[in-house]
Amino acid sequence: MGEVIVVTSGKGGVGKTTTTANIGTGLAKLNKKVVLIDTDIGLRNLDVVMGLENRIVYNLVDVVEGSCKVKQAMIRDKRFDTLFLLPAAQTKDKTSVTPDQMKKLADDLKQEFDYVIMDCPAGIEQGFKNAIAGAERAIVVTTPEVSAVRDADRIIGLLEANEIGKTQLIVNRLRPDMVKRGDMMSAEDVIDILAVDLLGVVPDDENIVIATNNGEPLAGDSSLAGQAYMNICRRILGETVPFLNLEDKKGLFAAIASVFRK
Amino acid sequence: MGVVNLKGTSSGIILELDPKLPFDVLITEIANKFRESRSFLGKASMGIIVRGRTIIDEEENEILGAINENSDINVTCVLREDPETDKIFASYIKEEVPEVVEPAVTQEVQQETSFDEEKLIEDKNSAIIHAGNLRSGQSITYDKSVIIMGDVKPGASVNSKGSIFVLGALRGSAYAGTDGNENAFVMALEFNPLQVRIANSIAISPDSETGPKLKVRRFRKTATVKNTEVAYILNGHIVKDIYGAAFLRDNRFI
Repeated sequence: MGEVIVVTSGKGGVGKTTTTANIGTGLAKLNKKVVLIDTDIGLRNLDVVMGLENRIVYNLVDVVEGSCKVKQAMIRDKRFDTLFLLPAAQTKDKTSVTPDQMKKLADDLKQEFDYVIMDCPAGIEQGFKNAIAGAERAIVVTTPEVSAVRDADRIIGLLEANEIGKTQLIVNRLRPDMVKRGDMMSAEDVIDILAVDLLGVVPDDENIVIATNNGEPLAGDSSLAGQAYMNICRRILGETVPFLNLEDKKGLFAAIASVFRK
Repeated sequence: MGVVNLKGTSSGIILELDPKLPFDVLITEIANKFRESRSFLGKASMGIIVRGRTIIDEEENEILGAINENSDINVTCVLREDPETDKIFASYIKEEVPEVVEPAVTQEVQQETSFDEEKLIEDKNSAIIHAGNLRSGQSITYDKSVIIMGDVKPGASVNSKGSIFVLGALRGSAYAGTDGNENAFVMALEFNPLQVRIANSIAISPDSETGPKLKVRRFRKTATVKNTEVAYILNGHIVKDIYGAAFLRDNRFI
């Protein structure tokens, strides 16, 4: 029996889809059977980030409407045999699916998969309600900015109201140098405000942009963000993993870079 | 209203028959009516629509005979009307033009007259022209072939029972021959689709072409020669070819 996890944020553009793709890839690397569901109907992106856009024949709405079987709509990942994507429809909108239908789908899928991960759309309307319907656990993604933190706070309230058992936080796109200067909130500051458990901190890393454009999530590779995502995956599995020391790595890198600059 | 009424339209005559009377009464009345209007009708060529009762072939011949004897008009075609079509017409009229019932009837009938077999064949070989780009999330579906004067962006899709011609860049999905026609094909000036489906076959773009090449392509844009390409089914597989003389010579598509 698997677990249904929703990745949500409230605010758009904080990295929900990137996080979903990387957690899925990371868990598959740890030999878990994972299905990612893109619930952002009408504005799908997860397929592009995963590099599976060209394989889409059926989508989530087809499955829910009964036009095809779940197995037909699921796309196997390019690199990992245990990772699947259920893409969203692009020509429909959020109202094409109801929370009850999503709950049933999630309940069906978790019989077969270790993890069912829902990529939630931005906002708190129908799409959000659909995404959290079957979820047992939530991962809230935020960036260390007041606007994103405020939206995350609202989302955490809604998740509690909907009785989602476990809510954890990922602070995304942190810049250690700015934190050091006092220009950016640190992960600890964000945790203070939101009062939830921290699942991980992902540094701002240009490799993420490259990986997204390539359609190959970087979880588990040598980049700082790739390691951060891999640690997050281990924590999801229940392991205790110490947080990456972002500053030292950054310091070393900056030192090397400064040598070349001279 | 008499048992038989004649109504003129611009290119034909509507013959209204009383549904209750026996046919031999009607046929004499038809003969009378046409005799009376002989000079009015003149020597024109026109079609005839029979309305009010369902007639069989023999009765149609008798009506034609009566018209031939009693007037100088040349009947080019006879259309029979059944009450079911009438009901459909009536429902349209109620919805759209509640006041002007009579003219609307003739108008609808004329549309029906023009919809004969020749028109059907013509439909099969003709195409819809769609002017403008199709962006992500937009999708069009037609029974005929489709010509798109613009680009099909990623995330957009074109579906047609016939073939698809993109006079622009095809970067999204195209599905030709949706009802299983394996002779359908997909052609684009810039052929770079995510997915092409023809009848029951699917072809996807190679993975290496997505993503990182975007940047490279932009740099080389002036250097690369863009070939107009076409995808069609060959031995059960979708193949891509240059849209040129060799393709056009293969007349199974044309």
